[in-house]
Amino acid sequence: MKAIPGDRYLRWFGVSAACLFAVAWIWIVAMPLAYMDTEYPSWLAKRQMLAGCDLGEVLVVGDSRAAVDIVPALLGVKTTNLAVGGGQAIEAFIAVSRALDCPVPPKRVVVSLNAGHFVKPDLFWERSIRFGALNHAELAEVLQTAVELDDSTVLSPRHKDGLPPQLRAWLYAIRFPPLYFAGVLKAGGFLRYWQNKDSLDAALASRGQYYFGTDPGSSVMAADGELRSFVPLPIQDHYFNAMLARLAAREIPVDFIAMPLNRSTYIHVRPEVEGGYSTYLAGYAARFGNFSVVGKVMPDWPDRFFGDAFAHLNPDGATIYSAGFGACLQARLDGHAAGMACDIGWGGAELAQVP
Amino acid sequence: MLFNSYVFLFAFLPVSLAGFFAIGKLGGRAASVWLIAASLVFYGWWNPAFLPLLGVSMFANFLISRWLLAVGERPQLQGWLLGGAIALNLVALVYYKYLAAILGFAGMVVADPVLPLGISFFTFTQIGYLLDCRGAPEQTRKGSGWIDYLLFVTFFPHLIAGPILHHREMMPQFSVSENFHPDAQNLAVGLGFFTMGLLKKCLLADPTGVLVAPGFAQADTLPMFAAWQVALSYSLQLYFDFSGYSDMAVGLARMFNLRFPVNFNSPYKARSVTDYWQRWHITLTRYLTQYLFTPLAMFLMRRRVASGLPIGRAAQRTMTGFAAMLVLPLGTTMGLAGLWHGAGWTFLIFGLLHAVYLSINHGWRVFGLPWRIGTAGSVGLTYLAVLIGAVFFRAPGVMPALDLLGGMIGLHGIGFSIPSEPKMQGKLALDVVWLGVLYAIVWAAPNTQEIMGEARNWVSSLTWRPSLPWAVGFGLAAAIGLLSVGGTGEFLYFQF
Repeated sequence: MKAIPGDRYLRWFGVSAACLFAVAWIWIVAMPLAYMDTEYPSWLAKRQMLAGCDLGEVLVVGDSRAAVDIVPALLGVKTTNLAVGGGQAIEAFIAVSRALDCPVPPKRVVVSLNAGHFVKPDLFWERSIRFGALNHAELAEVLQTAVELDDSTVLSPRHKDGLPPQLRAWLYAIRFPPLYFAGVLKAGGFLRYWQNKDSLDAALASRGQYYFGTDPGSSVMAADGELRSFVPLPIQDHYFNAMLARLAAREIPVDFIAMPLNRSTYIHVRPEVEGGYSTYLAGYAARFGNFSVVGKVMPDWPDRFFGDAFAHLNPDGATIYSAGFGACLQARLDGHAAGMACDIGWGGAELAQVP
Repeated sequence: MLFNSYVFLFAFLPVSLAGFFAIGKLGGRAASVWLIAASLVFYGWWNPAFLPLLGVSMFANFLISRWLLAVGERPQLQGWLLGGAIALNLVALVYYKYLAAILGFAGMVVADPVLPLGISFFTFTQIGYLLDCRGAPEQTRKGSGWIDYLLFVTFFPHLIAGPILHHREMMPQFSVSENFHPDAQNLAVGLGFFTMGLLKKCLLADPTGVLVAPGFAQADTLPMFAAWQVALSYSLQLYFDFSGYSDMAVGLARMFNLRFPVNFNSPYKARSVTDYWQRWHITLTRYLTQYLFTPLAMFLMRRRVASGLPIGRAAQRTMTGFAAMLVLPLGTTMGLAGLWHGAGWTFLIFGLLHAVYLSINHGWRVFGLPWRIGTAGSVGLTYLAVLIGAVFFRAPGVMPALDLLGGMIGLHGIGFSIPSEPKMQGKLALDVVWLGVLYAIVWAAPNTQEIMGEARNWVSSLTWRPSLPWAVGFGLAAAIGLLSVGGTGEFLYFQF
């Protein structure tokens, strides 16, 4: 190999590095379905439904349990499930705010956030920011609010890169390649495209519902069983309150309904957690006339209806639950109070008895 | 600031390098001051609270070094001064690194003070300098102005994790005026070293460590193959992590026209534990040999002589002579070397275990034992011994280390899976292939020095030259390295 002068060597080095970096950047911006992990398509589907304002009468916001357990097709009323994996009050607030900007806002909003999502940070950076669920202005406001509330949980969790959150948020917004390259590597560049495209189509077809685990039962204790107390994070409380206030201003009724826990988790739930959670929600019900807490705050179902270690219902469980929830929802839309119809239990029902 | 962080790669390094050469046009002193300032920014980025400690340490040690040189004609005073200075350095080190553990042994529970970054490194570097102010004053006088001293201690490529530099190899370089001007050849070589280090860190070490933490956390339940997988993964993670770091440090220094000593030279190719320590963290071994083992061994020999005991080869071949002249200084040195890495029984056991290995190794030679097991056997046996030491080095306590070793010999059954990682079972074949690839790199591939032409490379076509293919190849590799700094692990959905 022929030697070249050092400055020429450095030029070629720099040009090669810059070219590959640029190619990777273009790919990352243009083809997220080719490399993002399997949860991205469902987030994208929800964003697309929101952007198209194709929401129907009922809007569901909340966390992954709501995303799994509430099957819009079984509810008997046009519903859009915008709940997302790791979703907390911030994500619910953003979804509701955007929905309220639609020409025809939803007639009713269903909120479902489990206790852990009020008291612990979850996937704000790894999901909400990485997937682009918040635009730059929304994110700037969240970060500013976090600073004002002195709540560092969304500012720095799990990040040791030393970057200020605003800069990191901007890097995500411009899809800075190193933040996404792990996915590209694991996807072999493009191998996730077809699976992700199928998942996107499926999530759009199901109006936002999708499954996590589909095991025929789970007796693993979910994180709810490890909670020591119920003390909401200031930032989550702020956005929960803001969401309810915004819906109250538009006189849209809001039902809070908690998703079932598997019994193996429930037996470990501390009374002070369940009590604190219940009292917290009751306080909001007293403050906002349009807000009701429907059913138990920690209903427990047999383990066989759960599909993974995070207390997501499996398809059998979700089918039974959604059938019951559909009846409850119909009663609520008809103007009935949250009575027996909304005390959704599995009722000892076997699948064969479910219509 | 880490070498593989965004801030370092995209801001600090370009700015500090460009600034150094721009200011270098004004003269070496100004460029040195710039580099010191940059190094302090580097050090203080994560926690500026420790900058004063570093500053006080350097200021005090520099003043004491001048004092030591000034009282060279009064050896007794010099000795007291040196002893006091070393004690002061060690007091700071003990306070931050060991006090909580020492009080813990005494049954007193105190919170660990936050450990200042790199305190072991800058403390040892400066103690070495002080010792040389007494032992080799003519060398320490050369190029010994305060700017050179500050640069010697703070120069960011070695400040946090070594290599442990000797003033004799660094300070003379600060007085070479050409070193303050850009040198394309050095930049190219430095970028080559740095790129290879970055790839090792991001693409080899980090992904290999995924199973290590959960594995050690459940050491008491791991079946045999899973225990082996965890131990081997850790030994490879540690290898590529430290190798990558060392390459990056050497490369960074070269970009600034400075040469660092080799600190890592294919240690898993070692044919004995003695050989291993001449290849792993070479500058630490050099330091410990020069400032601890040799003086201690000399002291013990002098005592033997004073007691009328022999010290020659024949004396070494007696059990008492061997124990007194080799095992004792080795045990002391390696025990302290273990504790240097951290406060805890596991580090002490790690050090003493290596002392035992080294004693056996020396005993073989001294007593002329005849058995030989060939190169492959020697390398394999050495690696196994090092692997056992590495289990103690990583384990959170002695019991987890013993549990993992117990798992490796089948005390928890024969099986593959790590209980908390059931999903990893499906990847087992992939993991085995991955470990195979890493061992192929470790044992069959030339190392960075050899590839960069700094050592003889048996694969001549893989020896770097300033040619177009190498420029393009390293450019592409550098881009992959930069793209990988965000981490290669994806977040696993673990909460709700």
